[in-house]
This record gives sequence, structure tokens and C-alpha cells, in this order.
Amino acid sequence: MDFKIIPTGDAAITLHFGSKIEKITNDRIQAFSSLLLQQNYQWLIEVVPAYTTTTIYYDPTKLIDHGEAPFSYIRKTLQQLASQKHEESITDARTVEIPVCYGGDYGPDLDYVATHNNLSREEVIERHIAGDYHVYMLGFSPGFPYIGGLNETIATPRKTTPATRITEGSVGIAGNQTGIYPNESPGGWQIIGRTPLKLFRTQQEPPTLLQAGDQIRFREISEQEFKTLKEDER
Amino acid sequence: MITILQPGLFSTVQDIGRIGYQKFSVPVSGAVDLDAHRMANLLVGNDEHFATIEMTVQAAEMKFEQDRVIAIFGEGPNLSLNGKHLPKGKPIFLPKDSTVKHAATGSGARTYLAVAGGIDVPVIMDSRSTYTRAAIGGFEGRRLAKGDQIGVGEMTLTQRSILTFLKEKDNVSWFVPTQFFDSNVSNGTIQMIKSEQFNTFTKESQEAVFNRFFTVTSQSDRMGYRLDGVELKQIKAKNEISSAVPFGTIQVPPDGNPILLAADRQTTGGYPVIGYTASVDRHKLAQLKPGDQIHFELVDIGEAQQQFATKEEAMRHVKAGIKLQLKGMN
Repeated sequence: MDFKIIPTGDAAITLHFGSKIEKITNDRIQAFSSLLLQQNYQWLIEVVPAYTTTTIYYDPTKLIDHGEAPFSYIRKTLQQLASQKHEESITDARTVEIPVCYGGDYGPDLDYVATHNNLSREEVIERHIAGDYHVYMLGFSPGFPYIGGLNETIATPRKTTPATRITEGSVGIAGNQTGIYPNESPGGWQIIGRTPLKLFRTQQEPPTLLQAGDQIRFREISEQEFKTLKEDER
Repeated sequence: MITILQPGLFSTVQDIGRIGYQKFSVPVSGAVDLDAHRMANLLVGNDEHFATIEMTVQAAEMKFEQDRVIAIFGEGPNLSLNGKHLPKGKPIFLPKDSTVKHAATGSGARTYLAVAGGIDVPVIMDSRSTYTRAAIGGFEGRRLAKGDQIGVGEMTLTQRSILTFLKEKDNVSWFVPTQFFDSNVSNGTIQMIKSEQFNTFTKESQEAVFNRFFTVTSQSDRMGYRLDGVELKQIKAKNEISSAVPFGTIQVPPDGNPILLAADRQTTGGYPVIGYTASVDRHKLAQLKPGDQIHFELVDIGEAQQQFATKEEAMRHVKAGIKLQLKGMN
């Protein structure tokens, strides 16, 4: 496994796996991040994977007496770990199904997305469901997934004026990304539907429905089914 | 039980932070001044990770329903009891129905109040820290408000003996000075480690970041500090692909005014980064107030880590010293 190791201040180190946002790079990040968490290094505090990097927070005071600089010690340790393990350590990604009620009050911007792309509403929904999606990372707010893989024919720019209140569970499009709002918040994404599933639940472990590296499949549901599933989530 | 009679400017329940959840995009939060938080806890015989009340610039007014032992630490606001100034840096006995309140602002921004037994709020994702932006943890996920009734954890046997000792004898004469953590570097100076992108900034910006003063603006909170001074520019403006941003990251958004990221920062960021402040200087950042002037001084990683380790060593010694003093009351 190949990566650049770059210090991020005196208590973190970032591994760079590539310079482009690509699924293959991101898969390697997920694999190496889980491998790291299995090691029980006493100096390791936490691991934060992102699009093309994973960052390791560490406690330099636990390494100061090793007779070499903490940074070079960690670099050596990681290089050894990387050379022992190879691509086979990539685990099979989970596929999470997300039920979505499209259009109407649930997706007020569905018509706009259709008009913008010269498609019918049904065609937008079809193409949104047909996508092959990958969660690259969680960021922005607790549990917010950055999802890649949107069909380019339904890509739509953000709103020029962000909406002040987007309902929890809203599924949106911004440029060629699709995303789901875990919590009610302001936002500029074009909202095409809503899922009854809770993406962020502090009382569960893990606290997020989606994790970096997951595959996603959207499924269209009726308003009735939305209400039933929403009840079940309570 | 502690009743909040007045919340002060911005008071929240905090501990050492929500560690291990950044991969779910949950910020670390926790005490901005971790040293002061830890010290307040140690002084009442708590574990360092117990929750305290973090008070910013103006302290809260609080009524203690039972006999309690508290300790106050940090360079932020000072508190008083019945018109009498309460000393920082030592365990203090409060008889039941005592009301503690704001007395005067301090030289810094934040003061921590620890209670023997710890502040008892539900543990959410392994922490009692409050992250107000997403209403996670602490007391109902928000800053404290008038009328809040906050629980206190059970005291250990040792803590009960300390309480009895302080109640029957008088308060102790020893104390830990709030300047305990100050290094030989003067207060307005914060050590900075260069980032990988340092060389993407113009020559003028590279020099200015170390030669000029920056002012902490009023747009500063637990999330970060917006600085004002000289505008920092990249040779060719370029955003980075989002990745993790530790405490003390110095981001430079397009307007050129740097932002110092603090405890409630988002887990990742994509603005260019010019440097990172040294971990050993975290408490200095925590105590900055709007209007304060700071100046960055270059330090390399090895030296910064050595200073950090030396400081932790000093912390271990003072911790052992406090333990011995508290044991003497047993």
C-alpha cells in the first residue's frame, strides 16, 4: 500500500493516498483506517478518514522516550504495517438501502431538477435510483454523508439562495453530488425526496446509519410507506 | 444539585472531549482549556475526565443545595461567595445553600468550576461535553440557562473525608497558581508549526505570519477564533480536498484573515492551512479574548513535542502533590 505521510501539527499525522477523489483511493483509505484501529497502539487517539486522506491523532508524550522523534517512530511503524498488509485486507463494503419518498412536499425541488435537465419527474427518480453510490466520508455536520456516484444527467447546481430550513432526512442534489441531511438545518441543496430513516442517533453504536466506505442503494417508497417506516424509527 | 440563578455569558458542561467520534463527523468539543479543566478536577479529588462547568468571560451565579467541595481554575472570570472573593487553585468547602457568583473578569477568557463527584449529565457517545451547534451532550445539549438544575455525582469516601476536614477545620493554605502552565514564552506569543502548504503562500505572507501581530476578533467562540491583521495570500489560490483539522489548525479562507480552530471545530476542512499551533500552547489559545493581540513564533515539531512532554511531566508532579495533600485530610 502506497501513501505519503505528512505531519499535521505536533499531535497528528496525515496519510495521503492520492490527489484525486476516486473510489479506488477511498477504498484503500477505509481498509487502512480499519487496520489501524485493530492495532491497539497505545499512542493512537483516533483515526479520521476523508476523501483522499486518513488522519491519525496521537499522543506525542507517550512516544517521547522511545529514543527517536515521535514522528519518525510513527512513520516507521506505519510503513511496516503497510508492507505487511496488502490489498486483500480490503473488506467487502456494506450496502445500505435508503427508502426515499420522492417529490411533492417531501421533495419540493424535484420539478426544478427535472426541468433543469429536460427530463420528466419519473426519469429523474429512475436515474437517481439507478445510481451506484459510495459514501466517501462523513463531514460538515454529525452524520452527514458525502456521497459520490450521481448520474451526471441529473446533476443540478445548488440554489442561489439557501433554504433556511431543510427537514431532517431530506435527500438532495448539489452539482454532481447527492446527499442526505441527518438533521434539520439550513442548506442550498435541491431537495428531491426524503427518507424516514434516522441517519444520526446518538444512543446507538455506531451513532450513524452510514459510514465512510458504504455502498448505497435508493429505493422509491410511497407516502404511506414513508409514514409507516417513520413510525418504526421512533 | 446546583441551580443556575444567572448563566453568565456562555457557560456549558464540558469534559476532556468526545474522543473517537470524529469519523462520524462529530466534533471533539470538551474544555477549550484542558489544563485548567483537569486541574480543577484534581483539586477536588476527581478524575481528570469528570465534567466541569466552563464559564466564559462572565461567570454564572449558582446555588449549591448541599454541602460541597469545589475548585476553580483558569484565567477567566473570578467568583465570590457572600461578597468574599473565592480563591482559585485550591479545594473550597461550600456550606449548603451557598450562592457563588461572578465577581470580576479575569486576565483570560475561561474559568472552570469542578465539584467533588463531578457534574452529572448523561454520557452521550462516551462524553458529557456539550456541543451546542448540534445540541449534543452536556445539559440538554445547550448552554446553561436561568433555572437549570444540574446534578452532581456521588462523592468517593476520600472526597467525603475531604469535605468533613474542610468543613470542620478551615480552608487549606496551599494552592496551585493559575500561571502554573505558563511557559517561558510570553503570553501573547503562540508557537506555530509550519504546514505542508506553507510554501504555497506568498513570500510576504510567509514573513508576515511571524512578524506581525494578529488581533482576536469578536467573531470568536468555542469553534474557532477569527484573527485580524495582515491578510495572508496564496501564490495561486487553491482549496484543498477536505481532510481532518486538529485543534490549533490555522486556516486561511479566501478573505485572507486566518481562523484558529478550537474545540468545537468541524472535523474536516478544505481551506488552505498555513500552520498549526503547538499543543503545549493550547491553554494560551483557550484564554484569548476579543481584542487580544497575538504573535506567532516558529517552532519545529520535535521541539514542540518535547515542550509538551515536559509540561505533562510537570502536570504529573503537581497531580502527585495534590493527591498527597488531599490524602492528608483523610
